[in-house]
Amino acid sequence: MHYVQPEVMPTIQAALKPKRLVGCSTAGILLEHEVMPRGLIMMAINSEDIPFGVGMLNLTTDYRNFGFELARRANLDLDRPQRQAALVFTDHTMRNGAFLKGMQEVLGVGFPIFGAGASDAFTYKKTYQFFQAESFSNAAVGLLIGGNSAAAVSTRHGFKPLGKPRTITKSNDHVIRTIDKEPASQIFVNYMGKDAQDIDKGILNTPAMLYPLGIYEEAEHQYLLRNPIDILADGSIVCQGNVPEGSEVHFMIATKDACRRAAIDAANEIKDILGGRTPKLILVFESMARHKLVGRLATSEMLAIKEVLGHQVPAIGIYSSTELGPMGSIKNSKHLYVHNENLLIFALG
Amino acid sequence: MTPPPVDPISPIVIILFVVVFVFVCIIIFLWLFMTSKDETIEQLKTKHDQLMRSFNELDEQAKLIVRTDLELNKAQAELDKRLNGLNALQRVSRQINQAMNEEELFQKISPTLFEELGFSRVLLATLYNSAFKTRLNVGFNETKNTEIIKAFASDETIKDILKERRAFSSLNSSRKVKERLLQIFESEYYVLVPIVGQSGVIGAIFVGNRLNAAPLTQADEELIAILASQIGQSLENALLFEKVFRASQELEIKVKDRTRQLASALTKVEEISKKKTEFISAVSHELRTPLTSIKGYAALLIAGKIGEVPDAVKERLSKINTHSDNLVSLINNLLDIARIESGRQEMKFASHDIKHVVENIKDLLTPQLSAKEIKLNLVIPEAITHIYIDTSQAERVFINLLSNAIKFTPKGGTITIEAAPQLEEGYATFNVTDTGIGIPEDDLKKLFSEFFRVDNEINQNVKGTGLGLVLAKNIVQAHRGRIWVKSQVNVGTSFYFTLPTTVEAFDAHKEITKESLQNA
Repeated sequence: MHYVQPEVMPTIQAALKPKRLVGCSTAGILLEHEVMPRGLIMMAINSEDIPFGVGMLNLTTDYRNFGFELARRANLDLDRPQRQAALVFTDHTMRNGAFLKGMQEVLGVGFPIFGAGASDAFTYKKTYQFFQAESFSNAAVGLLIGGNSAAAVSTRHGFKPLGKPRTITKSNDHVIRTIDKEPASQIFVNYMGKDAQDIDKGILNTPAMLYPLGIYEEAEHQYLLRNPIDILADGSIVCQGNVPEGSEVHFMIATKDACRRAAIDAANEIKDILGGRTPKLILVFESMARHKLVGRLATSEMLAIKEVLGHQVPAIGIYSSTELGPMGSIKNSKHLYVHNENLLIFALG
Repeated sequence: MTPPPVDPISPIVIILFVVVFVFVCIIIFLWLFMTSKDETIEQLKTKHDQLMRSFNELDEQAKLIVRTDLELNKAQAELDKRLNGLNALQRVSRQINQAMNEEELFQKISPTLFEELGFSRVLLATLYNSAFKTRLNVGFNETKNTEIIKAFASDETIKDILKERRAFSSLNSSRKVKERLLQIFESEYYVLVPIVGQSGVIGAIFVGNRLNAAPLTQADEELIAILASQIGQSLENALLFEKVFRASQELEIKVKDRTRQLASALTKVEEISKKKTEFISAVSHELRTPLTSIKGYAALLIAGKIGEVPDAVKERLSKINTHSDNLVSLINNLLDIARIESGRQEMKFASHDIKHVVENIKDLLTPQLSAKEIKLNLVIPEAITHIYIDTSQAERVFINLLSNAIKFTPKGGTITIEAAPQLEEGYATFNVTDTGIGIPEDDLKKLFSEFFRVDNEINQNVKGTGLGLVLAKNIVQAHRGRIWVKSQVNVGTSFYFTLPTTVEAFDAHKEITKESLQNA
């Protein structure tokens, strides 16, 4: 659900009496055969072998310390030493990946940390984070998964760069001021022509959402995607993630099939990481902006994932504002990112 | 002699020569080097320019790719929208088609339908007593809703749109209409469609989006127009159904009233019947006493105990005696009927061997059967062994029916008494079938009426009371059974009746009571 009724969380608490509960609002629920724009989806885990630790923290701008504290709280709540993965749900305004580094300081650099930015009805205005019997905004909740199960995380986007590289000549945090010394929004005008003429009135419902910007990450030899979510009066692009000044930036493009292929690749990577273990559960976080591109074929990605990992495995997905995790898998990259336009799969085997 | 000394070249000259030579070489080398560098730079510059041109050309191609992709995406999005819209429309059409009334119909049009179609504002209003009434409101506050409803009735632009009976959208409206509708609905993108029924405009539906929302497409306009048409049809259907339903309810109420009246009339009839029965019973009693005296005196006179009487007188006295016997028989039948009807007749139910009962009757009527050489067949299946009856009363049913059969069956005919397998739970069905003259169809209905006798030659010659079948019917009913007849003229007649086989069946068999009639 992308809204929250006051009675929902206490009712869940009273009905199920869960020991630990975390969650977030979403633009939609992604199932194998259906996308539900409204509703509530829960995955309940009842296992003596999988302990959990949870933590909640209101957002601060000291990102690194914020991540450190959130991880520390969840770690304190976990009563056993074995840790397998950490799940984090943040408010959509948490766009700076530094908090993930803070979490890594507590949990270790190679530790699988993954998560999603909560979403609303595709307005990027107000989201909710659920913690035990309460709901919060401007906060983050973390869930540390313990035990001896194998955890696997993989992210993919399937977009390719198009046209010549450009340089972000001026940016602040998540706002690109200029590209090649021109107002940033000019990049859309250059490529989209008349279709970009109204983007300054509101970019979210325009075709510009189909073409994210790709920032080339030298260390990963891959592109980190950034969704434009607003255009300021001076032509600056507000992105759903931080954008370093001096970065090489590309206009990115993908097809529906490329998106589906990306989902299959991510699922195959999960399968490889689990090394023959059957997944016990699958969580899928997919960018709500990506939904604009795949349209009616939205369920094809989930279907493809289940075809690879098994139709019998319980799997739920949500549409997110950001996807938090490595670029690819933690096996290949120790860096964690705030992604846009990505599909993230987590499986516990 | 010492050769004359050769004038050695001055070392200075040599040094100078070498210096000049080296200098010239350096100059030549530098000249050559500089020439080559310029060429390389020139070549590199050319390469760079070529690369930049290629880059720019690739970028231009990329722009073309993006614009083509945009076109494809737009076409795909339009197609998706149409498909989603059609799916949603089909779903809502199915639901609203099943609506039984107006309220139910509008309850089934969910705001999520419009959300699926991509609209954040909806106002659906219908005409009710010449005024528009909001049926669905999404995205407008109460004040705005009231304003819009007022505009539906009074705004000239909206009135013109309703008059035109077609979809108006932000795609096809004139600037003036657009501006006015933006003012009223505060929505840049919109579709406004009148809902038209057989009687004309019966409502209107507005869907739209606020400023900065996704622009409208032709598909949106078409879908909303189809939806409006569907709502119009379903609304008319629902109203028609409501009308029919109301009429049926009124009819049902009338039927219930009439049933109550009939039940009341039945009670009255029963009361009258009871009084009639009591009256017949009383009169019959009063008649029987003087009749006994008349018969007694007639017998004394015939026997000559009071004195010899002439033969002619004897003959008359015999007639008096015979008619008195007929009258006594009539009175006895009437009394029996009255007793059974009033429930005063004490019934002594018990289980009896069916074959024994039937054989007794056969013995009783053997003289009459023999006199007319009529063959009597008894067909009693092994499955039926006992019947739960008041034997003296039940025997009268058999005797009555069998006597009638003998009476109307020509000499040498056949009569069959057959007990059929149970047609009703715990009851046996008997039939007494003859090969007699049969009964005309018109008379069949009156056959169980008191004093009714079929008008035929036999009845004209043979005396009868017209009470035998009435008595038989009353006795069968006292056993909670049924009696009926089938007949074909010149072929024969079959009388059917049911009797209980067990006490449980008798107890369980519901009588047709006044209460059951009222409940029905």
